[in-house]
Amino acid sequence: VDASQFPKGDFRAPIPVIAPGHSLGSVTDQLTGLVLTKKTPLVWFGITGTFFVLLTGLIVSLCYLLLKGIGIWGNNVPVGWAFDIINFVWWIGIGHAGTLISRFCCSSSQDWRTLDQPLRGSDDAVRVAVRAIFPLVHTGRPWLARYWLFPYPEHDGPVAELPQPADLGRLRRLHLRVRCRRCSGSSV
Amino acid sequence: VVPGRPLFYATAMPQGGFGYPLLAENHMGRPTKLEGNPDHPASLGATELFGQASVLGLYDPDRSRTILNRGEVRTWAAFQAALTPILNAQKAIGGSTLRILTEPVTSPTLTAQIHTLLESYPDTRWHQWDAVYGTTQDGAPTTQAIYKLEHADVVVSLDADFLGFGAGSVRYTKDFSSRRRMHTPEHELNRMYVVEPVPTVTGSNADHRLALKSRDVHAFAAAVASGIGANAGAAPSGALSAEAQKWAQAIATDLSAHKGKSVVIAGDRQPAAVHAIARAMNDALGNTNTTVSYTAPIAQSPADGAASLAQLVAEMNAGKVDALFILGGNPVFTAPADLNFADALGKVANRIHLGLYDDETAELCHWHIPEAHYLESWGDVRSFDGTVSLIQPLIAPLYDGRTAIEVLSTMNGKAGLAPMDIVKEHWAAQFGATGSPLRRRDGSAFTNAESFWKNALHDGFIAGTAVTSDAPTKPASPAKSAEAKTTPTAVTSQPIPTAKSGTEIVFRPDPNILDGRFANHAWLQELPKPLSKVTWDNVAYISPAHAEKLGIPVFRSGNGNQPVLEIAYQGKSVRMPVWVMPGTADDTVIVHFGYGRKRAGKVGNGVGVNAFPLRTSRAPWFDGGATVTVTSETYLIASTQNHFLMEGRNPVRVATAEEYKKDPTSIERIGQHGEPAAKADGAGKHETLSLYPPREYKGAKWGMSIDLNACTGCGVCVAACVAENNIAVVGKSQVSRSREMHWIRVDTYFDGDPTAPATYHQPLPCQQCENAPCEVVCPVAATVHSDEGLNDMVYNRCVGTRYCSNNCPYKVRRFNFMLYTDFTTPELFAQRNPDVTVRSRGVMEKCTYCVQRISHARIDAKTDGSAGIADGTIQTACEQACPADAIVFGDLNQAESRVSKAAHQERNYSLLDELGTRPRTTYLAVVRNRNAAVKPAAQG
Repeated sequence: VDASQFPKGDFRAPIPVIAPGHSLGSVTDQLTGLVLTKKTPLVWFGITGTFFVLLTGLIVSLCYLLLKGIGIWGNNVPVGWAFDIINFVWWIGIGHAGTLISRFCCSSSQDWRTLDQPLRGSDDAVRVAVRAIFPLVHTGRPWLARYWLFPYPEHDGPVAELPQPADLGRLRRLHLRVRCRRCSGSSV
Repeated sequence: VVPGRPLFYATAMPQGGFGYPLLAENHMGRPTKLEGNPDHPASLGATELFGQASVLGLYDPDRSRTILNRGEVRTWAAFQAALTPILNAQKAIGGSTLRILTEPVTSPTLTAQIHTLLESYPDTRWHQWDAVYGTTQDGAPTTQAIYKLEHADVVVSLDADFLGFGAGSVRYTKDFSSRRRMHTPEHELNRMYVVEPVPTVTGSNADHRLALKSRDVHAFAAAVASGIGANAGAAPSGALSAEAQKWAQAIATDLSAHKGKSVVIAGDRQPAAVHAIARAMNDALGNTNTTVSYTAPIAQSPADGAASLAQLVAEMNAGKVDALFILGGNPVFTAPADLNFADALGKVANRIHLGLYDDETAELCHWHIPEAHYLESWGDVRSFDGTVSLIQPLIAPLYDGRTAIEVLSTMNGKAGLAPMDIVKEHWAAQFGATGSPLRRRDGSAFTNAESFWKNALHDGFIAGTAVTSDAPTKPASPAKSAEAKTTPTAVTSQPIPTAKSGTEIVFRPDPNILDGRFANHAWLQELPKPLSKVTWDNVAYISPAHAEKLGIPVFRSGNGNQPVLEIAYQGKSVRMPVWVMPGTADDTVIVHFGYGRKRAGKVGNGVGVNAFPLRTSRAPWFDGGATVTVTSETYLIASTQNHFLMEGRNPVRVATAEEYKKDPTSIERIGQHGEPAAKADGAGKHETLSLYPPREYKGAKWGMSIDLNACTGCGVCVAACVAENNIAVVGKSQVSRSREMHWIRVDTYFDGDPTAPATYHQPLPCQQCENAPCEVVCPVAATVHSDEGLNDMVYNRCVGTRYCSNNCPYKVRRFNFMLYTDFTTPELFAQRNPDVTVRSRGVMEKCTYCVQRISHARIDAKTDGSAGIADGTIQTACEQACPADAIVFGDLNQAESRVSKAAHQERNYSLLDELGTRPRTTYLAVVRNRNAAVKPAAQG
């Protein structure tokens, strides 16, 4: 797609995103060349190490949780949810904020947004993943929750559409639809 | 045997010598649940706590399993071989250094055996000790009183917990509550006055309760007696307060107005002098033989336990005992501290112990014989009214258990007799010897001994063996004939040697584990104790005013650390966590003993504090001169109720009899919050707005009614529910995090002045709401409404989101936060009810109205071809066990069912009515029968 295909001033004409003097080849060289250096900065090891420890911590605590039960969180009968719902809502909030900003950028034709689109996409995917941990592991029997809670194809219910990672609303809508169906007692 | 069909056998549980008649449910040869024997006069179908819980004791994996000789495993034959030289040596000297120590005994067979032994060893002595039963202070009463509370309009209790404790408690609760269940506002209520130092189940049901030190009860009794002109005997020293005087006057006036229709009850822990005053009052009022009858003591060879044990210890110390047979009990742990029983025991050359556990006493004995649990035994026992119950085994002994009857039979030279034959022979001889006065229940005679035996086994008791007034209980007993059956109406002056000043220390057995005999019983450990709702520990009660003086916060919030008290008495001291209990007598500390066991088993070891070091044989129940100081230590107490005030929300609705009679609709207006309910719809009182269409119930529509006026708060419903529904035990640390699993709880509320509060109890199972908040939020449809109105739980569908529990306003749902059910101890598998799912980790559970019993009845009705299920066919476990008949379950679609009638009473109300949940379980309000002459303000 070239700007010359459009009359001058047409809003559909793409704005040049490569600085003069660059070709697709030179841009690729520059981007891929980043990892070919032998001088990895120490801070990279620091950051990677820190997050590796945190990730290991997550895995260890999830394993402990699966082995012992959610009693390890200190919940009790009047307080059925505490740590789990706060975490869940926190990550929903973060995810909503990112998507909201993205939507604003989109609707105001901020084309520079294209540049970090993949970054934000994966960012959101991570948030959704973190958020999805809690509805699953907060249940008493996560191994069955997978079966009972997740939407699955059923002739008298909604057809399962596995949601896109960044598509926030759909998972919630689907969840609500599944719930409404079950409440009305039409099946099961 | 049809698989899935339980069989029921009548038996009886011996406890403190007395029998508690039971009907045992047997699934494929294993007993799973115990109910009361509906035909037996001491039960009428209900049970108390221990009867419900004792089935777990049978399967206790920590029970002693083999005969031990100095810790080495031996056989029964080896024991018999060891016994012969001991007995031969004794025979030569007339048994002068042979002693037998038992718990109180009413068993006719065992008594006869002991007497046979005493005949062959004339100088042998028989001692009895039980830390809870049969231990008296300042003389044992010479007669036993049997009350007929259904005839009493006015009941006065002098430190007697007759509703909450003792062999007669089930029958007394039945009779007492029959006068509490008002069917109409005009119903004549009885009136109860209670004077006691410790808040008890009985005290909490009083119309008027006065907290008084134990030592002042005698003076109080004398003041009432003089008010009605009865012989009060030697005047006790010590002055009563002006308030107590006023109470005594008012009670005397009320008693005089109800001659022949009142009763005065003296407590077991009060001296003989108080019993004599109570007797004198009943005689003077003409109550004797109408509301109370006096008989010779039913326990055989009645002895004051502490005195009997003291005599034994003196002889052991003097080296006069060579062979001691301890048949049951754990005296090394429970004996009064001043006797130093363990040291004295060390001086006996041959020590033989028969017991359920390899406990503290077994450790110090040469021979230990595992005792058979009563569900594995043949035997007989008398209940509080003298009726003989037969004990028959539900299962062959799981381990190498022997009964006291077998041991004595061996000692009598009749080794090898089958346990059944020993009991059967005794009764066959009785049948023949007495010219067959034994009759069927309908009065017809038996044709032969065999038919008599079969009939007695079937019924579980021998009709016509109840004692009659002033009659000897057992004509063949030589000990009995020697005993004077006098029934003094005048008081013999009894000096009270205990201190009359200073802070009073009162000893009480723990309400659930007694003197520690149930310490290894997890159900009883976890069962909230009446009133305090403490689990897994013993505490020292003090009054709120006393707490303020000591600088202890009167109100606690949440489960937290309690301050620890140092209680010093007679040069010894014990550190115990404190519990501020409204209604405790001022300047009194109540110490519960039974905890702090060292050799109880996995469950009971090291739980709680041992209070026995403070208890002496001189004052086993109360004494002055204790000092109480607050230490800097704290101790975590797990209580299942964290708040005991109603905060104006009136979960329990209360009216006085006068108010209720004047305006029966007053109950409906109590505690209404927000919009008053829109319109009445007959069955449930109110129809509230709902988005959902009303449900139709074409068949049954189950409902429950709980009469709070009859409920005594004893907690047996909780124990019954645990046994029926395979409810897991979670342990202290989990209870302290509010994760107990009981499907029904009994909430207690204190109202009014904390020094003299009114106390109310409210059993709270799942309310089975019509508009159930839990159902609509479950994402997996694991809790659904059934077409009979039940709020069903589908365990295999539940994934444990806990959404339902969060939305439940009654907080009756229970969640398996961890793996609470024991899936690894094989002994416990056999106890479980095969009709109820055993829940695992991560599942929500709750009361189902015993849906398995409903299903059984429905299937039966279908098989029989009957149109419906008759009212009363289905009894929920809590309803069946309840001695007060406070819980009624039935079909709300049947206009004539008991539950429908209850729902139409003016007293009927729904809990948290204003939320519009339309509960299916409704309550009947408390109506107290106040006497205007007694200070009414104190009673809320």
